[in-house]
Order: sequence, then structure tokens, then C-alpha cells
Amino acid sequence: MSYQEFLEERDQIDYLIQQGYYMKNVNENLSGAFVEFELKEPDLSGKKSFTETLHIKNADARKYFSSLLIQQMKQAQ
Amino acid sequence: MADLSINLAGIKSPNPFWLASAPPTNSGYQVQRAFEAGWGGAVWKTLGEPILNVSSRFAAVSFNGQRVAGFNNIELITDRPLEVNLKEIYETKKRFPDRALVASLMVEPKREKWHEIVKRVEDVGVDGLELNFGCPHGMAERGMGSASGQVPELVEKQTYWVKEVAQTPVIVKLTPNITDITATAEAAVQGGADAISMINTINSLMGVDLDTWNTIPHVAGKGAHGGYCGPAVKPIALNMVAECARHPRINVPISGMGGVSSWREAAEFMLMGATGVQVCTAVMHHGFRIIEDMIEGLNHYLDEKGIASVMDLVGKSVHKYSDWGNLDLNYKVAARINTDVCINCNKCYIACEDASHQCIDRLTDENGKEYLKVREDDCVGCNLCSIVCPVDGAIDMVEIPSEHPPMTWNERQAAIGALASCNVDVK
Repeated sequence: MSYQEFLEERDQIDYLIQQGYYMKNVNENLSGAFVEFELKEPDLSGKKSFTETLHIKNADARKYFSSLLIQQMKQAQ
Repeated sequence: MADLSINLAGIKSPNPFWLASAPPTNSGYQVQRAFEAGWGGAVWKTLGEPILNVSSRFAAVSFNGQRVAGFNNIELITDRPLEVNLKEIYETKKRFPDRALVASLMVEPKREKWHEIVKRVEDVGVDGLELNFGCPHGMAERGMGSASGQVPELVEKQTYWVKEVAQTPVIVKLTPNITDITATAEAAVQGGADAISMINTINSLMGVDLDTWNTIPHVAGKGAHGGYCGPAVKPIALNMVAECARHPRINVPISGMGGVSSWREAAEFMLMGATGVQVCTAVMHHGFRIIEDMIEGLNHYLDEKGIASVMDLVGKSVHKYSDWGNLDLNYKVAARINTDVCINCNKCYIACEDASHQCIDRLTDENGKEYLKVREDDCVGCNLCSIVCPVDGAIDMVEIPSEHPPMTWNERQAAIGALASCNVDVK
């Protein structure tokens, strides 16, 4: 189910954003997109790793993180 | 009644409908009858050294009951002496001074040949010249027509030679048998063309007879490629007109042709940048009197739109035509099946299941009646179901509002690129 795949990957992206991560880098290849996230502020409790990488395969999810990335860059300006 | 008159690079005609250079404009008899019927202009069948034709010249594709969906010819330029044509052009222009009469020309790519024919043709009072750099068969084997038209340097050089002596506007007619028509269009502009016209016919072989194994058509058992035109080529022609119209360095008027069969195609070509249109195949199929419906239909359309002059249509859709990379990736449409109208033929279901994204379900309601329903979340908005549906109104493609602002591929790639090069502090 394509839409189900989208929802699952979208939720993974949203979760990391909610946890205080931002998109640091995107690598795209034949397998899809590998989105590298980094914490905006280091987690002093040590529960969160400083970086996370999501493998985004679904096409709509790749559109989704791209829209968020543009939004993120606009907010940073 | 709207004003249908046009002015293409100084060539004026009472309406935007011209006959293209082709069999219907072979003689004064034909062109005068066309003008009597109401055609606004005509491009005389190409003048040059009179040729020899073969017998068995035309063929057509009929598809699912539609006669002449596509048309093919291996006829060459005029087979009559120049003097005969010029006398008839003179007489025609004298009888119909308000119509646009343009002479199509084709000679060897030699400066003196172009100078000679331009001077002789202009002496009889034509309103303009159209250089035939498009004819794909026969003449091309002799270095003329599309053989010239596929080489930008030859287009530029020959246009320049013509402009050295021409007193009337020069239209350069381009071949579609080239990867990028804007290359030759730009060359024509560089050579001084006052306008360009497109498209000439497309290289084609209509078929093979499965009994005799001869080509269609064949000449004593042998065939050669011809030029394809008619309704089937319209999308190809319209794209080429649009590509030229939106090109920043192609800034001359365009005479559009290729599958124009009614006022509708004419309006489309004009919206995509053509100042007027030329017609051939539709006349070969139905005769000169189709002009009556074309004029009436265009008039009604303009009146309904509240447009006073047909020239106000020219180019109005060009800004809506761009590169794929500028399209909004967040725009979404989805199919919606109207069960009240649907006849449950399952064409959409089969198309979606076999050739698209498997998002139509066959369901049964509480009364045991079968119906079809689209899972909108899975629908990618490809339009295939609505294309194959045989019932008008059974499937609507509806816009689904996006939660994100528009985002093009180019913007997306720029954003990812900026991340990679650390151009932006994104924290």
C-alpha cells in the first residue's frame, strides 16, 4: 500500500522533527533518499543520539521531507 | 462579432485562416475558389524548378472509424513552369486584393538561385514569401527542403540571401524532423526572417500491405518515406510552436500549422503564440467550405469570451508552458467516480489495475449492486481512468488541496544542494 508507506515514513520524519532534530543533509541514490538529521541542541540526558538517518523510499514521503526542508531553510533565514 | 483580422509580420488578412502550401493551393483556380469560400490567405504551392511526380502519392490512417486521422504524401513541389504560376498568382491577387497571398519558394542552396526567384515572384505582387525548408521527401534528396532545414547554418545563410533582395516579409517554414526546432528557428531569426512557420510534415511510412508486402502507398512495388500530417500531428506541432514562442531569442511572429482542422485548434495555436494558422489536410478531406464553420466557431468563441480581436488571443497561454522542473510537485488531483453516471464497464478498473497504480476498488453495496470507488489517498492523479472512460461525466479529476506550499523540482534540488554545500545555516 503506497499510502500506508507514505504515512509510516512521514511519521518517522515528524517524530524526529518533534524531538528537536533538523535536516542536516540529504543523499539520494538508486535506493531513494537518506536524510541525515541532527539535534539542534545536544541532549544532555544522553538519551538521544546526536544524529539520525532515515531511509525514505516512498515518493510522496520524499516530497514531504523536501517541503519541510524548504520550510526549514526559510525559517532559518 | 469580433475582429478576426490579423497582421503577421506586416502581412494582413481578414481572418487567421490560411491555406498551407500544398495540393489545395496548386493553381489559381483552386486558390480563387478558396478565397470565394472565405479563406483569409493562401500560401501558394511551392515554386521552384518544376518537378516530376510519381503516381500513387497519398495515403491515410483511419483509426476506429475516424477517416484521415493522419495523412501522408510523397508529392513534390509544383510541376508547372514558374511563368504559369506567376500569371495565376497575379490574377488571383488582382481579384482578391484583401487576402494574404504568400508564395512558397524552394531552390538549391545557392545565392543567385534565391535572388532570381525572389525577384521574379515579388514582381507579380505577392504579400510575402515563405521559404520551404521543411519538405521531407524527394526534394530533400536533392539538398533542398528539410535537407537544408535540418542544418541551422544553411537556414541562416539562405534566409540572409533572401533578405538581401526581398521587398516583402519573409517567413521561414521549418521542418519538425529535427531534435530541437528552436535551433533552426533561431537560425532563421539570425538570418533576418520576419516570421517563422511550422510544422512541415513528419517523415513517415504509412504501412505495409500484409497481402502483397508492398509499402503503402507504393509505386510499382517500391516505396519511399513521405510527409505525415493531419489531426494526429497536432500535439507535436503545438509543442513546437509553443517552444518557439517561449524562446527568448525567437522574437518573430509564428504561423502555426499541423493538424488544424477546426476553429478550436486554431485558437489553441494562437493561444500558444501563433499569429495565424495554416490548414491543408482538413481541406483535402472536407473541401474549402470548412472555412465557414471555422470563422463562425471562432467568432462565437471570441464573443463568448468577450474578446474584441482575435489578435488578443495570441500568446496568452505561452507563460503557462514551461519546463518540467518548474511544475509544482505538491499539486494533486485525484479521480472521483460518479456512481450515478458510471455504467460499470470496468474500463477504468482494468486500466488502473494493469497500467497505473491499482487504486480503484470493485465493491458491492448493501443491495448487491456493484460499484467502483477510487481510494483517493493512493490515487496519483495520472488521469488514465478518465481518459479510457467511455461515459462523459462518469469520472472527475478533482483537485486535492495540499498542506504544503507549491514546490518545484528545481526548488527542491536547489534546497538539497544548498544543504550539501553548507550555504545555509539551517538550525
